[in-house]
Amino acid sequence: MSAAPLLEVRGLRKHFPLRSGVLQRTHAWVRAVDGVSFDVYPAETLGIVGESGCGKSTLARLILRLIEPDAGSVRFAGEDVRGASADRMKRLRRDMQLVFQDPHASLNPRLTIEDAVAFSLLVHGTSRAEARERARALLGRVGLEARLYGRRYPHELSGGQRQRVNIARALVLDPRLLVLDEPASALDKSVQAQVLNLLADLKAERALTYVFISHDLNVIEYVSSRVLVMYLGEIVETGTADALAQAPKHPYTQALFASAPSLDPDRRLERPPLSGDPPNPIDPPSGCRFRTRCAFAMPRCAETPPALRAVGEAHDVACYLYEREAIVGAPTGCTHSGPGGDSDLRGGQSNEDGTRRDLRESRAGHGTRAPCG
Amino acid sequence: MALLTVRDLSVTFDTRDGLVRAVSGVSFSLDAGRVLALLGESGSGKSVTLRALLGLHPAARAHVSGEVLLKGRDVNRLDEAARERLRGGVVSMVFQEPMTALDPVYTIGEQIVETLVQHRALDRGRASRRARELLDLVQVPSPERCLASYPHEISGGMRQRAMIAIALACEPELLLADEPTTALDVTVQAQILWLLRELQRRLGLAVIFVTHDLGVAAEIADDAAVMYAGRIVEQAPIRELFRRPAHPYTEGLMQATVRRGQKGKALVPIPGAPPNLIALPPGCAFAPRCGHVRGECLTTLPSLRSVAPGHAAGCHLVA
Repeated sequence: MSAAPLLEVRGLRKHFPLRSGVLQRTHAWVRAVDGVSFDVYPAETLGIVGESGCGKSTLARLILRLIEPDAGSVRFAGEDVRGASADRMKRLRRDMQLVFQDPHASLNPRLTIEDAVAFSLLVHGTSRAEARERARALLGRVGLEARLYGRRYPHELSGGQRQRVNIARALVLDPRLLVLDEPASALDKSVQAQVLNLLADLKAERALTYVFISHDLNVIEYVSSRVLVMYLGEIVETGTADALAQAPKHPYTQALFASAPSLDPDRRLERPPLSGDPPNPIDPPSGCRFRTRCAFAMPRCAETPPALRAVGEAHDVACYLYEREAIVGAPTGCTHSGPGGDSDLRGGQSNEDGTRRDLRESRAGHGTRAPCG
Repeated sequence: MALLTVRDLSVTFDTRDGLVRAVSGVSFSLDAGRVLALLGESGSGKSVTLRALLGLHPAARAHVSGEVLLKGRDVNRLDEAARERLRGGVVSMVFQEPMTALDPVYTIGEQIVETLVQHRALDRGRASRRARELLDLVQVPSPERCLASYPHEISGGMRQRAMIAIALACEPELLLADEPTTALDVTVQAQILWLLRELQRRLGLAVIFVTHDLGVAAEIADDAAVMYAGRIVEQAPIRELFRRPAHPYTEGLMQATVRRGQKGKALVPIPGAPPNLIALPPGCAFAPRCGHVRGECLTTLPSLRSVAPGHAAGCHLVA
């Protein structure tokens, strides 16, 4: 990754006001994205994974400046996106496109799919005939032969077909970066695989760069070269997809991996790796935001939020357990004694609802899986 | 005798566009204390089947035929009062979206108490104590606070626990669960699956668990029935289904699902899309998407044939 980053995100923050009463006074803030920094390099797929309320969709909209951030910067190919004039922004939008999750809600029901794909070309000054021709060619490429499908309306298509239209529409301006917000999550599994394969082929053909957002860890691991794990508006861990899959460091990342069903009736979860739901982003916990669900929480976790520190090559984690090994080349094996290595943590600890948890046993799923029956 | 026997169940809906054959000739049985996963993608008929078991399809809109024998009594032939008693005492249901299934203007406590007063004829004092016990049973961390909360005041995971508590209030023998973890985050899904399995074991419940997710079925079920275009295309014990899927659709679904450690290997999708339930093909509904299709598949509907003991598949390739 010696090349210059295509996308540089620094200290991005977005808090949404919650208003109430007749005067609509702001009484609280939803801290959707809170100080997020990362780079995306040309031709890579950066996966962003997290649960509901972690801020991943807000982040997608901030990158494309569909909403304005409160603080921080986004640079695309060296150009400041936040400071761009309306004219420059129009140009930048050609290079950065977004594909939304819901293929039903994101297409205009009154446009044929051919017109929907051609629309942005017309906006950007292409002639009608050429726009139509390019739209038809692209529809063919995503598997919807224009002769059969071009004049249809969105309601005449299945969910998977509609998502293909969305992908064609995002690609018609020849963007360099595609931000995909849960592009396959609303689809049935058999169709999801079709869309993931199509996205992989298009990426190779067109030298695209992807930011791929999903709550599905298996999908993220499959498509990504690098992964960001988000929790309540912050990045808790980042690393290559392989490093995260083989040796997740942050207790939250470990719990995410351990919670995913194994697809093997002989390796069932013996007990849940985490208790409780993710807290409300309106009033996140002080210090480390994960501490209320963390089996390894220490007094200092409540005081100051831990910063992201390197624990391996291109592998950063925001957790005090790794402070001592926060050097490049630190042990990363899954068999390593796990967070911190403090043996007094081994027994786990009680949390608010009195259930005992021990991530050390449950991590990577080995200890907690059992045969059925 | 099986707790539940379903024979040749069909459900059709008359719509503006034509007759939708949502469920066609579904038969299965379930013994007490067993967990059956009804697996299928959207439009496969799994949720319609589940609702038909409770007699929930309004006669004005849906035509239901076949038998649903619950403890030997046909649900579809009972009058509404008798059905109501079955729904309270023998069978109850957990829905996918607790936010829409719970009543927003009553507290969780009031809703549980109401269920107990209606179905169990308890007085309010005893019902309140029982409500508290039920929340302990579903492992709500602070039951008193939960009882006093309105549905919007508690988290999605807590709402689903509350709904399970209501479903268990009348000590049913059969629990019907319609994608109860689909709307939840993965760490919360793990908790609810684990809880349901614990409760099932402890209370000896029979459960029918509708899901589109192979992974969820692998976590919870003893047996599985795979549905496609309104029919059961394969039935097997869950291990057997994962080890030796016999129907090309089941096999395709397994290959199309992204698993851990699959990075770098191409996914094998099932081509095409599920058929229109208004215009089902005469033969096997999966034939247009099937890699092994033969002439007879296009003309003749395959019946369920035995592959191994307890394992059957509706496919002409199964000799």
